[in-house]
Amino acid sequence: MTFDYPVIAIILSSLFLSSSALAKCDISKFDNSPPIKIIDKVNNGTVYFEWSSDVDVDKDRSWVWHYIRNVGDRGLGYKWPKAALRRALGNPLEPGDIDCNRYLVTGATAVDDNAPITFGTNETVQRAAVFAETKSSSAQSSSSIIETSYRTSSGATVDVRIGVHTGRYDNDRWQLLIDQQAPNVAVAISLPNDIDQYAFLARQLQADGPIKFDAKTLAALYSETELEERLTRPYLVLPRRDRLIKHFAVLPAGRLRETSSDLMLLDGDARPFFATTVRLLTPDNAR
Amino acid sequence: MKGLGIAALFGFVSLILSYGLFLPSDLKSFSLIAAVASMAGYALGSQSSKIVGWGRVLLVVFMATATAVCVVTYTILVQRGSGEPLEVTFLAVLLFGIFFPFTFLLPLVGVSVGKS
Repeated sequence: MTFDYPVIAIILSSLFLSSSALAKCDISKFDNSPPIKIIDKVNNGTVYFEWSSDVDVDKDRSWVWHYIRNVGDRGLGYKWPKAALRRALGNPLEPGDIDCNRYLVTGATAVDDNAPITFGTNETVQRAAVFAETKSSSAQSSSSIIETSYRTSSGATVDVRIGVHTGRYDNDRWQLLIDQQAPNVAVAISLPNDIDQYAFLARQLQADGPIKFDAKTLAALYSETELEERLTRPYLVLPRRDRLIKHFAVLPAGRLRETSSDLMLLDGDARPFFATTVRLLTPDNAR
Repeated sequence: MKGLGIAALFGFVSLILSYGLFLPSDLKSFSLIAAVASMAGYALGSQSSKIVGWGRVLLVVFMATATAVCVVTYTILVQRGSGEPLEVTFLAVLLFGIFFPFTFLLPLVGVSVGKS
């Protein structure tokens, strides 16, 4: 597929930390502009981790980003729903590693101080806060970047980076670009049910689906109340690759609307171990 | 057939009980382990109830101790677990270790269903 797409070129050129090298989430540039980051450490004698949330400006674009860094010496399974970071018990964030996500915002942001983190088998609840967009303005494009890692069955830790970018391709078409730097990890993304030509979209993305996951699979990452709605959602699954791959799709579209979608990473045994939410602009097919 | 029905009944009760026990929401499917453990425990316990004398006493003591140890260890581990794969596996083993010896014990100490 040829990539004659000026908008995507702009998005990619402006990517926060646009290095293509696969690396851990680089938090050295965290909090490089106001407001001051929210940060805290949690140590209950069993687990020891650091969480943080911030809004940073890079090349006139504002990014909300959150991370959890495992400072302790044991794996960490947790759920931080307001930051859209989730890690399954039994497939935890390894010691020294970081889970982070960031997304582009165009509207005003404010602190939401009711953003608890649940962690461990005891489901201990830790008070936390996040920056969130309070009022969205009409964005022309969306970008979300997720960086995490996982441990393979041979014990090696592999870094994963996924970028999801959407926007207008031209006056009549919508585009979706998924930048998959995830060796041997499958990526499942749920897109709105009302997208026309779902099969055509899957073919362009070289994805399997749409498929639905069962409760047993999703229970590792979502609570019972969150499960109900997710069981009905169709997911497109981008198969495992051993190299960097960009999935690109274009669909006819009139108006675009802002939505959010679940994105899950599945290990070699097709078990989801990490989940987040990505912001998208999608065709508005509401009738 | 009757024995199988009773074992199934114990399995069902254990399924409900284990769901009510503290199981992390991610691991609710582990209640199936409790059900299977109970059915196997009761079935084997019924067979072993023919054992008499010191053998029976030793079996009762061993199973009662195993149940108590597993309950205590499970409670401690669930409180202190961070989500490591080994911990999750160990929780599954301990859940089996709670329900199997407990239901094994029931026929040995004379608990039965449907007998006068």
